[in-house]
Amino acid sequence: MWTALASLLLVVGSLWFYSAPLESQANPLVTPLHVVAPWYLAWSQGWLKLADKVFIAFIFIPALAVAFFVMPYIEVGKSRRYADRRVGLSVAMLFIAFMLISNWMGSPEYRVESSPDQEVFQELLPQEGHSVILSVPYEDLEIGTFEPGQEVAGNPALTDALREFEAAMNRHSCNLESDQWRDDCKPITGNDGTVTQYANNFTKDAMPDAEAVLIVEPEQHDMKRITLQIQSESPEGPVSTNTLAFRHLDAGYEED
Amino acid sequence: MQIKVVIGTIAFMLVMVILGVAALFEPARLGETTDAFVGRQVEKGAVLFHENCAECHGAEGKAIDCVDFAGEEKSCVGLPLNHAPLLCGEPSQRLQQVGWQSSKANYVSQTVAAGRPGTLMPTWSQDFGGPMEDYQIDQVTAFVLNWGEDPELCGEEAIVEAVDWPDSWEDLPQGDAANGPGLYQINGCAGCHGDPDNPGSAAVGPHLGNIGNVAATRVPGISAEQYIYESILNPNAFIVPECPSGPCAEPSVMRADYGFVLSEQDMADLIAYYLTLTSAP
Repeated sequence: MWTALASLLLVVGSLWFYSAPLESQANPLVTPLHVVAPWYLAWSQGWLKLADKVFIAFIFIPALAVAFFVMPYIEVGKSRRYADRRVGLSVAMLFIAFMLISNWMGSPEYRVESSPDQEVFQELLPQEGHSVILSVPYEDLEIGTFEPGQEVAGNPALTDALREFEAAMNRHSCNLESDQWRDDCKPITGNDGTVTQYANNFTKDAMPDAEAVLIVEPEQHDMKRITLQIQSESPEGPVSTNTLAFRHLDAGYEED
Repeated sequence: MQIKVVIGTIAFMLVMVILGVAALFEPARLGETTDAFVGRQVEKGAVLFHENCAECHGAEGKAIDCVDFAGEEKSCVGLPLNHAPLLCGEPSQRLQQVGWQSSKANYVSQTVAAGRPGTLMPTWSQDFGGPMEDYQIDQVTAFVLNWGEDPELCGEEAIVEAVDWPDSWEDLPQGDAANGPGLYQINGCAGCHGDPDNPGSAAVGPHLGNIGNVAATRVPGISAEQYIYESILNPNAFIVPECPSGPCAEPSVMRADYGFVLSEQDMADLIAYYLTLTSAP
């Protein structure tokens, strides 16, 4: 009975509740932004944030592996009672707690932030995984230039994507002059007292007075070109960046 | 005990029924996934094309409006790829001209991978010393071939029959030299003959900056117009001795399919344009 029920659960789950993502071919020359280690290695990614990466990767982790090998030769007591191996089991509990925290530290929540414009691009048009912009149905991705938060009449899918565009911009921007929609810029100064960057309530690196647009243009008869453009101020002067993506009619991002 | 057997039997039968229904829809699901894969190949090919190929072939693949890395306008030195004679039909006109025995996709991917020896087209595959992986060559190929899926380029209305060329240029319509620069670019002349205003820009074929003066003197008894006309239609009709990198190759490496590509008006416009090129040596 249990075998049949488990089979039923697996078949139903794999048919209707799981879909293998169609991702890019692996290329050692291309590292997508915010790579995430598989769940069973998240602890090691957490450790990389604790100290020098070379020390952690080449000395600490191999040393830990060696420690596991020699452990049976250190703890040689025959009794398995807790009372007889208090130190060993306490260390093991501490190690388990440390591993839990390490896994948490290695989760995407504690990733290393990139520049704010790249973070916006990553949130809307990531190199891998679900994309807010690409998952708008092909027909709804109208040709034109759109601003974050713009309401496109009769097009709820594109309007929703533009709302997410606005939210992403608000998270990574600030205003040099007070504004009711975005946080005020908080200057961060270097050792010599000059402003090196600005922060807001969400992040330590925010784009001052940022403006952005989404441009959708025809590329081929069944493909559209998508450009995200961001212009902002910086301590060094105005900066402008953009990212380019394409949306083919058959690419099926709605399923992702 | 019996209830467990009943539940297990029902669950087993449900699994069988569900798998049977799933099998019915599997071909459609696989088709959609295959379409999605091909669509994403085209998208990734577009990124690679704009990063690596558009500088010479143009952003629209028509060998016009080329810009360099800094965004400055430059002469397009690549052949047009968004081009009916290359992409329409299996085999297309270009494949028939060169006697290609394999598929169109193979022709494009081989050209991208191995480049074109003797021209400015470099090798792109890592197998030939280039920067791209094999799957990236496939992606660029998918992007280029996707232009051929456009009904406006390859639909029934778009197919133009090859011209039955007259023997003499005099039977062509009146030419308009003003259309010449555009035709020169879109037909890929600049790829080998360079920019007519820049004598050092020709890479493979002779520079044409002074063709308006020298055409009449090339072959005794043949007018400048007739010389140009025959040279375009049949690149082996007359082969000049000197090319930018030494003696010109015999037989000529120039494309021999312009008789299939150009209209009579295009030909007349190009001849009129070439006759105006009298400045650079």
